[in-house]
Amino acid sequence: MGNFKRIMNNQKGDAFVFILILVFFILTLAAILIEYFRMESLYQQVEYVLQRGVNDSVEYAMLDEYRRDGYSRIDSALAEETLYEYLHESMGLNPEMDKYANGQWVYELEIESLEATDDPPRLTLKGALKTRSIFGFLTGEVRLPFTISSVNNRIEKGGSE
Amino acid sequence: MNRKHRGIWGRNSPPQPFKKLLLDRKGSAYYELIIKTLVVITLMATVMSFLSIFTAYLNLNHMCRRVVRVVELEGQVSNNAYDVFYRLKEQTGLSPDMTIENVEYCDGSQKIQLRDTFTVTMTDSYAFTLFKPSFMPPVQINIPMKVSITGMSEKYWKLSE
Repeated sequence: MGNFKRIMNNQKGDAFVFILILVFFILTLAAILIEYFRMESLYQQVEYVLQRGVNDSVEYAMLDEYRRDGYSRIDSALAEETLYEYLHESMGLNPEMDKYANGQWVYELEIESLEATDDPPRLTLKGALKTRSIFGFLTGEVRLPFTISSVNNRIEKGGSE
Repeated sequence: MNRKHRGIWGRNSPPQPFKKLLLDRKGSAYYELIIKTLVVITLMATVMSFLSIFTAYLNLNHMCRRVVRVVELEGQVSNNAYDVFYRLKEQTGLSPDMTIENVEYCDGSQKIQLRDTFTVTMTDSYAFTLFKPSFMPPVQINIPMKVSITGMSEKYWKLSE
């Protein structure tokens, strides 16, 4: 007890300890910032790619017979099927919706709902992006929710002109 | 007169008032501050001139991204894509070369089928001025910059059989 008290009261080398604490604090802060921007960038990237997939699916499933008569409709089953095809073929997700890059797990796409309506021609994808952070031992798995929707109301002739 | 009497300057002893001024230590902190401020300003100017390289690179990246987005939405390398490219060229003051690679056009035109990928590459060189002497042309280093972004067509071309 006396020994501990003596160490605590000893002012020798306190500047060194102070520098160590400061360096640790700065490094932790830098790690938090870098990790935040990495996650933000990943989220933006996935959201962009998903938006493109939803747009593609609506575009592909448009029913031209109705468009000719001034209506805008889609084949909702075809739109859903096309989106899943896109997720696996273009985004490279496996059947469990996991994304691997160079053999390493990057994220998992959790689809909560996929709603397609024929009229108005709309496809809405709701879900979350699950990924790991370097602070996973504190926060666990990170879940970033998203809602992506695409509507096509264009009724003029297009695509083949 | 022996050496001892001539002082530190020896035979080339400066005039008496100037000598007095040089040896006087009054106001030395003031001169030190002026020199330090000049050094800091020079350093800051150097850092800021280096930042212009990153700004140019970010502008080039933004330009490429915008052109890719237009091609994605239009599903073809249309005049709109070139319009955006020329407008951004004017706005940013850059003059990059643009090439579209890894693309498979359909129907013998500039059309890109839904979900087909393409890569837009922009190359430019940034002239970084080291110094600008008045009696000769500025001394510059040309830093090559290259940005490649891959996009995917979002337009479904219904081709005639």
